[in-house]
Amino acid sequence: MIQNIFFRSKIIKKKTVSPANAKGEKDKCPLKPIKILIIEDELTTRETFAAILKDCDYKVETAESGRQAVEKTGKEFFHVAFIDIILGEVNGVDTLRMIKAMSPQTVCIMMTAYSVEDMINTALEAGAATCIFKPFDVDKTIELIKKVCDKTIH
Amino acid sequence: MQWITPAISIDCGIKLAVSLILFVRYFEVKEKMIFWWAAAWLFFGLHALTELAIIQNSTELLWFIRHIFYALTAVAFLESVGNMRTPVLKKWHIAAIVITLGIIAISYIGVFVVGDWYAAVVPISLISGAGFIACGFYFFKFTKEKKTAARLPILLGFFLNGLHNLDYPFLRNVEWFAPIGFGLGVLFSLIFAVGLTMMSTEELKNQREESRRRVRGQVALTAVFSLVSQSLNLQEILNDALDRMLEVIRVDRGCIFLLDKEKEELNLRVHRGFSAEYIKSITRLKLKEDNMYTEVARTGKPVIIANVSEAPHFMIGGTEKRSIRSCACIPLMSKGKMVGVLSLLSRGYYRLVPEEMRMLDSIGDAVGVAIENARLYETVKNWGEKLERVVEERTKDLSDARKATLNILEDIDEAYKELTKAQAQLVQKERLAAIGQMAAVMGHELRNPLTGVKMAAYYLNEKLKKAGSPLTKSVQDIEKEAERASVIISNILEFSRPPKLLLNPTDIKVILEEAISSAREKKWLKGIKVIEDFQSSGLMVALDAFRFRQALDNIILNAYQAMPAGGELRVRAKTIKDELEIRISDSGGGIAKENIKRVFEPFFTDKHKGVGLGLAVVNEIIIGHNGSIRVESEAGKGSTVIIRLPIKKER
Repeated sequence: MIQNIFFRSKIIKKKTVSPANAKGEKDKCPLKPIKILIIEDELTTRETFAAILKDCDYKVETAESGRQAVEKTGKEFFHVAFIDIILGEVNGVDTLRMIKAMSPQTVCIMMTAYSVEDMINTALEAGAATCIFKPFDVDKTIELIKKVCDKTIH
Repeated sequence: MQWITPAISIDCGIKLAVSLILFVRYFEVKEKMIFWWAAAWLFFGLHALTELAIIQNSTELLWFIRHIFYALTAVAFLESVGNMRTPVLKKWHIAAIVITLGIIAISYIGVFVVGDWYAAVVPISLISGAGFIACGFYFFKFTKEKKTAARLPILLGFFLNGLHNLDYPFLRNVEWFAPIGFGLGVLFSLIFAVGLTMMSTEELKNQREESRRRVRGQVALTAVFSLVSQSLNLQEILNDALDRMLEVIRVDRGCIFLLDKEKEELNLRVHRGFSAEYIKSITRLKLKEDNMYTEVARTGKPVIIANVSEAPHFMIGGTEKRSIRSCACIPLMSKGKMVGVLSLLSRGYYRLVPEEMRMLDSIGDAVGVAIENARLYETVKNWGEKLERVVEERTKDLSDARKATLNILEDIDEAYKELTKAQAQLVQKERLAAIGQMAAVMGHELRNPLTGVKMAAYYLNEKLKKAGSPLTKSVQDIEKEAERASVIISNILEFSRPPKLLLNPTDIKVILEEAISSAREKKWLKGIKVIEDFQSSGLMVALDAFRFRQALDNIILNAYQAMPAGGELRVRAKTIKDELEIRISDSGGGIAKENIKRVFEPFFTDKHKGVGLGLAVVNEIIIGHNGSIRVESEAGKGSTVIIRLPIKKER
């Protein structure tokens, strides 16, 4: 919930990590390939976000629908999943529930452009780690990935 | 018995003649009761006719037919008395069926099974006679109110004919009684016939009178309607409406009450023909009381009482109570709302015809509307008068002022400006409400493509940086502008959705420091000297940290934009009594005097960029904290934003 408050705002930053520091760390290759699943129905956002994360040496898979996401989760383990709350036929919260049921270890981060407080709260209750608000800061998001991976891997 | 044939012939003749008269009346009056009278006398006559046939040739079949006619006569009388009551009571029909079937059964057994007509005629005569007497009894009961000349002969007709039936066993067997009995039978029938003819004639007269009443009603209705559309004087309308009603209904007393909704009472407005004592008792009626007037006001349904003895609990007043016999109270309605009660009372028995009821309803509605109109008019008039007085005063003031000084022109100019401004504000508010809704939808929708733009720019920037391209600057510009667009959208969204604040005790020093360091990170404070002066460090104030930071960020952003060439930002916080005062000053260009008042207005900006929502959002947030905000500024010397927040003492 603390993370949630921080990432609500594009202005408030975690004081201990300066942007320069974050960028320096970002270029380092992580110890193990970390697998990330991006579930997003907007093509540009999905593909660009994937390209950026691939550049940071993450292994990235994308899904444009909840159904596809569930299929991919069934095949391999993802450390982190980014889930858009407003998805097509199966919404983000339901997708989250299914992923959590299949792979409870996956850290799920919700994304939204809308102030859908109810859905955000439901998602957090259903096990989402946090929710980031579009348009989000890419640097900070990478920082977030690192932080959650540190926690899960070590 | 030579005389028996002419006697029965006369009897038969009278009965058929009466039947004919009654049928003629029925076709004029269309009253069911008269139809059944006519039918009864037709069967009566046919019964006599069959007796004539029996004298010639006494067969079982003829006796049977005679009994059936007699049964039908009894049934028709029952129906006629039953029809004096509307609707016809079910028990009358049941009684009629029972009597008919009973008589037919007895007759059948007597004539065909036993083979002796005398075994049938005695019980049948007894039953029919009892039926006549019962009819007479009910006729007496139902016509108690109608003190007409016809009542007595009809009553006698029923009773005497009924009694006469009881002497049937002696008619043929006692030699000396036979002529007397037959004679009496004819006499009784004659009395009965006279009564019925009289009453049916009266009924005809009544109906003619009623149709005249109907015409009068139409005239009155038209008159009331025209009055309603012409006059706006309430008292005049009420007086006239009541007079018209009394004229039409021809009763001696009436009154109109108006409903006072706040006090829940009926106020007597106009009245006719009441004693002073009675008027006193009905001047003000609380709705809680139980009487006919309040009953109407409570239920909205008319109360029509033909005879007050039927509803004594509705009556009100001492001496008047005894002299009122009938009354009608109708609701006065306007657009489905109760506005008053109109009541007509009569000393004598008065039965309203359906047309009169309908007319009363219509008049009730018309008067109701008129009352409402007049009330509205009075309100408007009062306002008008008030306005006139104000205008008069103002005109006087103005002329005084003109005499005194020529500054009046300036005043008018000022007033005009104020007016224009007020109007503009009004328009602005309306516009804002519409914009707000649209903005909320649009803002959310824009965030999605903006995410794509921002991300693509970021990606491109990284790639170009690695390749050492000089184009990174342009891509960073795209990123920066996308960020700016996202801030604008957030501001618009904040504004379109009034913030819900989550107040938690927060250290004011920490939040101010955070705001400054965050501004520093955003490079807003480049070349700006920041002076922190927090006297109240460690003071906990109930704040929504997120929203309050947003407000501070907006203020600091404004300061930064006011000092493009650098300067000094001073942030002070101190407690004054039970309030916390935060002053954020810049050394920028300041705000023009005429704009100071407007800086918190939404969509106002003097920066030629941005939508002008920044300070409007700040204002909303501070007000949400029960605080106040104002701006002090002097052109060329910078501006100071002063926020005051209430401090709740820790318990």
